[in-house]
Amino acid sequence: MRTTETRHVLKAPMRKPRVMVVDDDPRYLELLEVTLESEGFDVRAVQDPRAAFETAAKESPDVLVTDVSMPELDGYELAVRLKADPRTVNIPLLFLSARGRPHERQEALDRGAVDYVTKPFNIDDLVTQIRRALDAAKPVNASE
Amino acid sequence: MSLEPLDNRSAETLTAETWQQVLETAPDIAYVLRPDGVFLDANPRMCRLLQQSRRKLIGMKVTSSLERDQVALAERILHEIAERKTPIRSTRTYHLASSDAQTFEIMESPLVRDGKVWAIAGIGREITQEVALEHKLWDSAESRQSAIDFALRTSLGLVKGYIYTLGQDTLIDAERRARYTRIVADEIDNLARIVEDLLDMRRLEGGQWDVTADIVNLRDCADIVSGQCREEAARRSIELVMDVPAEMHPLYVPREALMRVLYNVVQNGIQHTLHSGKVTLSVADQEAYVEIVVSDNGVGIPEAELPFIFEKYYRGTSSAAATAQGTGLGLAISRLLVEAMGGKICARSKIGDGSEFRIVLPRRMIDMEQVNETSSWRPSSVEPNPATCA
Repeated sequence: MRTTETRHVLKAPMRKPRVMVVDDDPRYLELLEVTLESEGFDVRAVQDPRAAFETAAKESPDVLVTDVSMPELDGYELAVRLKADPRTVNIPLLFLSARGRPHERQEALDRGAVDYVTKPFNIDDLVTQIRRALDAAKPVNASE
Repeated sequence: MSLEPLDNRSAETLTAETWQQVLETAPDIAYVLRPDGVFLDANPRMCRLLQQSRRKLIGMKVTSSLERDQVALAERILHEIAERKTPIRSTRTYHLASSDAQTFEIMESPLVRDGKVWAIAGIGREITQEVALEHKLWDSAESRQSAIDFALRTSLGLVKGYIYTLGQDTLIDAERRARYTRIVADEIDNLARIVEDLLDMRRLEGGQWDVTADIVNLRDCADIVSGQCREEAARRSIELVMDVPAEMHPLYVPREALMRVLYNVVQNGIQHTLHSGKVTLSVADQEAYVEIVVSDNGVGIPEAELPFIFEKYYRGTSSAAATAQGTGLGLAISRLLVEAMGGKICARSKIGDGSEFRIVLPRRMIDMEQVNETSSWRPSSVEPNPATCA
């Protein structure tokens, strides 16, 4: 019985969802990398926001989580670039920010983010948001 | 300058004199309207504002040049003036396509004839600059407050996240465990500093800081402060030097306040000094006063920023200041405390060479009790400080 089940799973192997995280603070970057990997994600950590767009265009992550306040290029500018390019326009985008005013959240959503998570956050909540973003982005009749 | 309503008696008829009076009392714009808002006349400034010749303006409605959201309000005001025969003061913004918005404080008065309002005279003073300044001040207060929110949220997020990670035993090796514990400890220190700054500021603003003088041994105080700052200095490889004479005249000041000032100013030096720098606290014991100088060879403060560094929530604009931890309250608290002790604090700096903070304290706060009774020392209003060392 059990073998059959296993075979069935193996027939359609679940690829780990690939999450790209962008944060200029190495402490947050490592935190996200370690925790999201333990939750079963394939994590690509990018510290330099200026490199984030090219990396996203090249690697097409399943979801992108980015900090907002970054000195060289903030999360909003990154969002504008991602949404302006056909290679990256469909990557679900989540903002992670230490700014929690309602208008800041709205500003993020206006830039095409699927959600806005404020620091300090619960890892479980972040994971839930990421999974929700992945589900929403999934094509309805995936043939893969 | 305030806008006075037009004297009703002289406004009985729109004679040449009445119109002259309107013009004379108008600091900027002046006009006369029919009760339904149609221009009867306007002064040259009003014509320029609406970009119309006087001839064209007469016959136009005053509301036709207003933004949509202001039209209803203006109509209601005109209606009220006519109904209640009373002058009304208001603010109106004209925004014409070819120029920037101009805001006026306006006083509109009824002109009454045979018991009926037959016209409305308006005079106005331009307040565009004041309004802009008010917005700017509000914006900066907002951004300062949100700087504290940001600092708190960033630290809390790290503590929360790494505590969670440390709790997942299988996740991490010993090296990471040690490093993560260090991050949590540092951020808790940072949070404690933020909370302490906020509480200090509240105590100071509430006039609740005990300023009873103690006999203080400055050398002991400097040693304690050095101990409090040593760890952080060591972590940034910053040399901390305390140069305090072994023998000093007795000093009569509130000990807690003095310790807080020394700690804040030394911390400020550490925060704004790059790796491998040096922060020195030296004391000159004079007959009537004590001079404490805290100097660093850090990034320095731009001259334009010097007048603001003792203001609440002020944080420098340099990149070092942007990454420095803290709330921007430390120096403001220090200044209030130094002044409460009857002393003075000032700073001078050179970009790239470092900064020097000089604190001068009277040896004995003789008039402190007196000052305390009147509570006039309460530093709730922070006057601009020249902040440069004379």
